[in-house]
Amino acid sequence: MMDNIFWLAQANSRGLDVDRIISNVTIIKIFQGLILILVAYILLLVSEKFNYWLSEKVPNRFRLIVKQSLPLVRAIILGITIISLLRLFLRLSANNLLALTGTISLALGFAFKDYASSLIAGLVALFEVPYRVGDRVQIGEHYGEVISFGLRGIKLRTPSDNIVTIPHNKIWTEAISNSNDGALEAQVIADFYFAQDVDLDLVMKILYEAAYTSQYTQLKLPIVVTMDETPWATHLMLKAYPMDARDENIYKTDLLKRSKQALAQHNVQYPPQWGYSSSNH
Amino acid sequence: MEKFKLGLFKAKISFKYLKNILPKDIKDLGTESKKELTAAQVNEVKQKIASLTTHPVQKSAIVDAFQQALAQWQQQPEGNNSLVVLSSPVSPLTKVISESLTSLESDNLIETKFLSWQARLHDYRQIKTQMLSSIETSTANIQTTSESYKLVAIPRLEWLFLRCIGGLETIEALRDLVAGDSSRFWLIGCNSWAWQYLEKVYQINAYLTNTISIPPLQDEHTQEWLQALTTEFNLNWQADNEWLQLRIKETKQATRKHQELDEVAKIQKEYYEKITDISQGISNVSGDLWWRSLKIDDTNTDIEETRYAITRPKLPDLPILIIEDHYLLYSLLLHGGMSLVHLTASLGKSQSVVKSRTQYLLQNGVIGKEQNLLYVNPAYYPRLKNLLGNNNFLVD
Repeated sequence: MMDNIFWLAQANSRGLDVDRIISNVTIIKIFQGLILILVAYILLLVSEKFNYWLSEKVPNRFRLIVKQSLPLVRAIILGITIISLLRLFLRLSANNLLALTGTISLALGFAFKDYASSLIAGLVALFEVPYRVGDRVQIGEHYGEVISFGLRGIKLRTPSDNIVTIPHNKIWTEAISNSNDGALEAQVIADFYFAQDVDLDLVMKILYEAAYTSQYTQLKLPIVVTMDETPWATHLMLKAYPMDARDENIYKTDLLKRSKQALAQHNVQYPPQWGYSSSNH
Repeated sequence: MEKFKLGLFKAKISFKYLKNILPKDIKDLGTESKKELTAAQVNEVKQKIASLTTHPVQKSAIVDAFQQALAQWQQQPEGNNSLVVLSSPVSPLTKVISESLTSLESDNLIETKFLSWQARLHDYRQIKTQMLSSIETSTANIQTTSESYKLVAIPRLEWLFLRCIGGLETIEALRDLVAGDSSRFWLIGCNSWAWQYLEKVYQINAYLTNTISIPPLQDEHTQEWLQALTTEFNLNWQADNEWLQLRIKETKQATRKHQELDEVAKIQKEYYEKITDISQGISNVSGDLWWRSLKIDDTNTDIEETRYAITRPKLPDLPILIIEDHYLLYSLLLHGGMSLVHLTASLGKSQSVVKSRTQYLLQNGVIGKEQNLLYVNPAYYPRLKNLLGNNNFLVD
């Protein structure tokens, strides 16, 4: 890079800078450039709207495939637009390209370091695929569905319906936990705490039944109940998959609601609350 | 080139047909003389279809499988003592099994317990008790010999369970009962969606290993099956102008393989090929599509008697369905018809929510209601199967 800067400095000193790189700028070219930007903007908007519309129309099994095609389409549109604009205004010989790259690197290095880092991370994310549109991911403190994959970052819709924008450069430093990794299903875990002398066979039977009889359950995937012991309670985890990852919250609610109703019918004992006993009454 | 032209012509016709953009004068060529059936006529036709007996090819498939499974069990009484007959969720399994048993002539059959429920019991918690009392009231003092046997027939296994907590215990009991009772042979009918579901929940295939699927009807079987109705209704086979245009074009351009047949026979052959194809060989779907292709023929106004014309059979389009409808329809198909109370319990929703969607589906004809039981109209089954399968549901 230092070589490039040095070369550029030399070029400047010889008075070859602007004339060598920039082609004749005319009103027509400026007009063409504006038209290109406008067309690209419209195409981006239309592709986004069309993609969203199509993804909601097709059967669920194709929904994520359609959604995941959007970043690529956007990258193609932007790529073609940028190349067209460069060809329109610049003389892109090998030397000019080298000089231009050096200049841009210098500018980005100082002024837009994080932005450039996010852009590059976005390109890497397209190929490494730590997340896709439609995935449910945890990045830092934020969990939600990836609803948009932009140049600079992604947008997450959280369970409380907030939209969180996260730059791509988080992939360099943060751990990314992806619940479904491109699949339509994501595992849901419903936690239950019972008194330590609870009838485990009965409770586990009810929990399995709750999962097998939920309308949301993906029956093609395994349903498991696991157990853990804490000093104050017996902890059971019902792990199952909804047919559509988007239903995870409503699915968990359904599992909890129906399980609790059935458990109540059998008078299943829950753990005593901290600091609470019958003598307090 | 000829094929290309034919294809182009077909595409043109289909496109116009689907989009309904034919100019009025052309569009009305085939329909101006035909009216839809009245509700009373539809009911009459549906009753006649319901009274048709099962096609012999399906009965003989069940009887053959039954005799084979029975012979194996008699040779090895501790072995498999059951046969499960699987069908589509819209097939009339009770009727198929009872007619198959009637055609079974066996002197060695000394007792048959036929669980002839017409629906799932209202209180699903009582299903187990009721089922056991119906089956266990068998005359236990009758001793069987090495050749004689007792039979228990359960034509609709899906009516013994409800997909909710506590609604599956009858299946557990039955599974253990069949496995532990080598003194009787069990003939069980079940729709294939329910069977797959029970396989996921209880691995039921490990207990009831002998299964047979009702064979789909072929073109000629469908024709034979509907023959009685065709004769009775004295149909005009040449009333659908659009269809005729297509057929005449095909006949001209294709090989003259049916040249020996007369014009009506050609149309009939084509009709039954089409109806069998789109109904996937399921008799109930064929029957439903058959009456939907019937129209009142007004070409000859001099005749007082109502004449019927037949038009090209086609699957009815599904209305706009939301995701809640998918769950509801899957539940109806899984359970093979159910009351609103049971439907609500199986979906774990409030009755008001379920009722509004049920009304929508009823109004659009996707589902029907008979004796307080909701069921999916068979003509919609092929499209629903495709739709639910594509939306990640466990279908056949």
